[in-house]
Amino acid sequence: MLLIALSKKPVAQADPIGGCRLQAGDAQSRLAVYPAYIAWELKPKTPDVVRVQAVYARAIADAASLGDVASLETFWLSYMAFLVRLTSLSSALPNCPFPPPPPSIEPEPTHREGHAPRGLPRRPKLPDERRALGVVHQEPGPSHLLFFCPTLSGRRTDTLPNAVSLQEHFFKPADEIDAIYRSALASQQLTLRDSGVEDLVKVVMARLSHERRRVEEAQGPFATRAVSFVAKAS
Amino acid sequence: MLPPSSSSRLPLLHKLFLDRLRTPHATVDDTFQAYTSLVSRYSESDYEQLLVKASKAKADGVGKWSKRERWENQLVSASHCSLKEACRTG
Repeated sequence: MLLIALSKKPVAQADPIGGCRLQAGDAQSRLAVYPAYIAWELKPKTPDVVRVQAVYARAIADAASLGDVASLETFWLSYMAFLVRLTSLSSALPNCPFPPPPPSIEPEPTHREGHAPRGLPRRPKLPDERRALGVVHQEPGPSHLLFFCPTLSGRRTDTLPNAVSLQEHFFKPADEIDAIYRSALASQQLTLRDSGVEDLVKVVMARLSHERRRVEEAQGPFATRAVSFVAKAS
Repeated sequence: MLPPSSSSRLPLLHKLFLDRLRTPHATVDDTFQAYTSLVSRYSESDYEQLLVKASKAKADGVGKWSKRERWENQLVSASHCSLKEACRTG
């Protein structure tokens, strides 16, 4: 009987995911859950950074899929503020690229045996050495931190020449990313209940990059707005 | 028995499974089952040792998942509510 009853139902009701397209209300009602979820993740004294980042990524992806620019920007700026706070508190800071020391304070190099002769590049000084030389320690500003410290991204940013090329490096459009993004849009896989979470992470990150590029094109760099947001908040 | 070229990739496969088990997700039991099958088929000699590691990893993942399950359920139910509305209207 049940089978007969099911077979008489319209396709959309028997198989809602296959029969109905996701509508705006879908992501909108989900967006309302994320702030509480993120707040809960941030509640412990030492939050699980990976999980916090995962929830932020999903929130941003949902906001992007809905086209809710206000929520997208709120989540992004909140995420940026979290990253800034994280990097300024964690041990990631010593690994961040330091600005070059002011030349007037640094003493002239002495030429002894075994030292690099004039004209050749010198080894960058370690923070301890710089302190011993009386060089004032300059912490990287928010604009440096926003371009992701090496411990966060798994990359050594000091091998790249400057922030501009870093930005290009992280937001370079790639065929692979575009392909993943398109498949994400088709599959709508956005919950941990779905299988293949490892794939999902790539998908979400691809979405983030895509949406970020899109919004940056329209409204200018996120970094600039995030810096002013953090400055206002602090 | 795996060919030599595939055997060299087994450690990577073990690592991926353990990472996956540590990651909170709803289908952790299925993942554990799949890993058990893999170990019993291709690494029978180290069965107990590997399964002990896997159990620890699974416990870690399950602990994380149980704390987050209510939030995930809220997200899923929000989607389902909207789907029902969408079906009704469209």
